[in-house]
Amino acid sequence: MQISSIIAIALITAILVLFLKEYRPEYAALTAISAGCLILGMVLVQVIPTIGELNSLMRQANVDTGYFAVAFKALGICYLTQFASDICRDFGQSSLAGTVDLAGKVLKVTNSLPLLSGIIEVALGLVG
Amino acid sequence: MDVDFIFKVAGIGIIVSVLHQLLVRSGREEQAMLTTLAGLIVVLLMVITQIGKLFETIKSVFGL
Repeated sequence: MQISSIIAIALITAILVLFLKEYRPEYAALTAISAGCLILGMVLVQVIPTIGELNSLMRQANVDTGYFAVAFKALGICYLTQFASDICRDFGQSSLAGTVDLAGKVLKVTNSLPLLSGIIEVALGLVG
Repeated sequence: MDVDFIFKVAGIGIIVSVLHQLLVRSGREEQAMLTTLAGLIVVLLMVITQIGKLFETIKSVFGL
């Protein structure tokens, strides 16, 4: 991934979207979505080795990788909801964007609830 | 997926808008509407495949 290529894709797509918006707004939306997919995919390809590295570091430090998996799940949900809600907001559907944001928040809370119960168990053990 | 995909989508958009203009000028509003609809469905199918790929990648990377 080179930052210059990502910037080039983003700028060219922005100009294309600006042009298409006048004649066919629906194609403008689809062009923006496909550019978003492309750039996000390019970034994710770079993220994969980093995650492997962090996982091995955690294993060396004897930290439970279950906690790490929860954090990464939340990160994935963040990326997806951000992508979807930004596109909705771009094309004037801010209520849909808000709903997607809410869905992401709820999923993150339900995802990390086991961690909270673990903390409460530890706290109760300390008190009792 | 490549940068070509973005140009493909934008190109289909430009071609469809030209076709729409031509058909409207020659007095065939229904066919113009159908052309727009067909182009939209084709592009939507293309984009949906790419979005599915992106979601699969994110699922596998973050273990969702």
